[in-house]
Amino acid sequence: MSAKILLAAEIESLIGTLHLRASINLPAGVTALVGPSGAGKTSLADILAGLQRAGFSHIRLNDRVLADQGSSVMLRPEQRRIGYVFQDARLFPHLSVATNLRYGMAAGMRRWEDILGMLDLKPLLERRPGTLSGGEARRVAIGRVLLSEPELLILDEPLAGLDPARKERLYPYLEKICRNHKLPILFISHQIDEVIRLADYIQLIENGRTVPALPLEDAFSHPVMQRLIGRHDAGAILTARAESREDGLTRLDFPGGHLLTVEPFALGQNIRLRIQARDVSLSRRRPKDISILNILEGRITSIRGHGDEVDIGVAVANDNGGASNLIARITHHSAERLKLKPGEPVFALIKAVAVTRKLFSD
Amino acid sequence: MSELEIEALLLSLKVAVISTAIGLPLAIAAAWGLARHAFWGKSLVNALIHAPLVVPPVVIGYLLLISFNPNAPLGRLLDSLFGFSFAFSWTGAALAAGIMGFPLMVRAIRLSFESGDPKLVKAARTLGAGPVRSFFTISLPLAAPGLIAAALLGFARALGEFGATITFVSNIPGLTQTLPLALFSAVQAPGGEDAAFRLMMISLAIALGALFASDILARRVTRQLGHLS
Repeated sequence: MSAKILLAAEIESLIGTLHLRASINLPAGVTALVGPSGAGKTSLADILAGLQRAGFSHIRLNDRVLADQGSSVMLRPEQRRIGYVFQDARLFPHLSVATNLRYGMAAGMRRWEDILGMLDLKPLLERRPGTLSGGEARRVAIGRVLLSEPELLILDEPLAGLDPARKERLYPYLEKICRNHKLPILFISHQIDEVIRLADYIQLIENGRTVPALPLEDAFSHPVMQRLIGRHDAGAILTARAESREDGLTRLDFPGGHLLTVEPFALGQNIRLRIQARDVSLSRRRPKDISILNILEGRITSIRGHGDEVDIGVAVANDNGGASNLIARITHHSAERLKLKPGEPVFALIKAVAVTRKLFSD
Repeated sequence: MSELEIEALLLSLKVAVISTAIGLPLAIAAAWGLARHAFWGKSLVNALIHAPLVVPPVVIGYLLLISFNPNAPLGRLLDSLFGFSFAFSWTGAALAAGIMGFPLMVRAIRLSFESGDPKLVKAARTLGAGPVRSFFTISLPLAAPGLIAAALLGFARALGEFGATITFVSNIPGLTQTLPLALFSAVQAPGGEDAAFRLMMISLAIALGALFASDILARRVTRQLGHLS
């Protein structure tokens, strides 16, 4: 990551049987903290927010040191200016929505109207938290935190436990938050679709250990990420832009090539595509007389076998100097027959109908 | 009602209200300490607070008598510092009633604090509230049903206090004779049946009235807290 680091944290702690050894560096934008359950995600967030003690912690946020064992600085949670949206909303049940929103409001807050409008909270102001739906409660919790003007925002599974319809309704709000704020956002999730839609960077964590954060597109080829996604859903992420539309097909340009899709994306829109490995086929020569519209020329970068199936990493590039990585899942039998080897040229075939709306827009 | 009975009624109300009003904040502090903090000697403090539940009231009254009588060191100290004495005055009755009711109040409030959700306090802290603000805006209001129960228990216990009071401050009409003591005297006196009956009815009315009022209040508060829809 080349962007300016706003939060830098080194944390080491023994939590039950988990040895947490984390190094977190966040720029402005959304970093998804991704890892299997029990990897230490929530503990890490609690330590950052000052809600849990760590054996060792050194935390710097913007120009302030929040925790440093060396000079025995240990700011209390209320001094850290870290906004924490908890999984369970945690609205104060005895206070109205309006009072909840004002509870932590920063002095001289000028964005009351703005934040309430963005989250559609005005119709809820007089309500009691007990009468809100799950999605409404989370919106209030997010608004309450934004009004406290945090310097770091932690979103702990903000969509967990909501039914798909409610989730879909909450997404646009989260997207607005993630786009409109210039602060670092740590987004805890183990739902890969949420991560693809919202995150700019991925901070992987497994068994309490972090690996350096990666841009979203690169993270998906990381072994930890692949273990998480599972073999079935493995794939690559492309960031593309809708350039033109013709004959019912939209042309999406991405670094290294372009794709045609039937999805009617708005032109000029930036789109994140998830190309699943099982939707990609390979050919040694450029096929002719074939229904498949997307034929991308590339070079094999890796071959990973899993019994009868093989995942082939393919780097596609074009003359403009752009490059992207794809993954193709083919049978072991086909890989033998085509005599595929790293470094050799190959054509990746993707059906236009497989390029779908697993995305978000900028 | 005779003048003495009215005096007993007013005295009892005064003793019960004052002992509850002073005891409640102390009970809140004790309950908070016991519910949410670990400190050295906690089990000893816990035992001392709960002693009046298990020790005979007469013993507590006698303990107070030998501690606070005008010739005892504590009694002398209070007298020389503030010119104040618990001995044979309604303040002594209030002290005895307060001590006897204290463990009941602490238990009710402590239960309420313990059933409160510490996660809400954590949320308040991340929103910039220090420990004091989060206590007064989150923990304490959410413990309101427990506070009401505690106030009722303290008030009722004070109203009924007999053994410790009569041992400590004696049974002086107009001075330390509360309703139960007046009722006891009326039962003892020949021809006191009518007075005894009236005092019994008054005691019943106050106690049941307090129970009724606290029930209404508790229901309203519970609704306010959003536990009921």
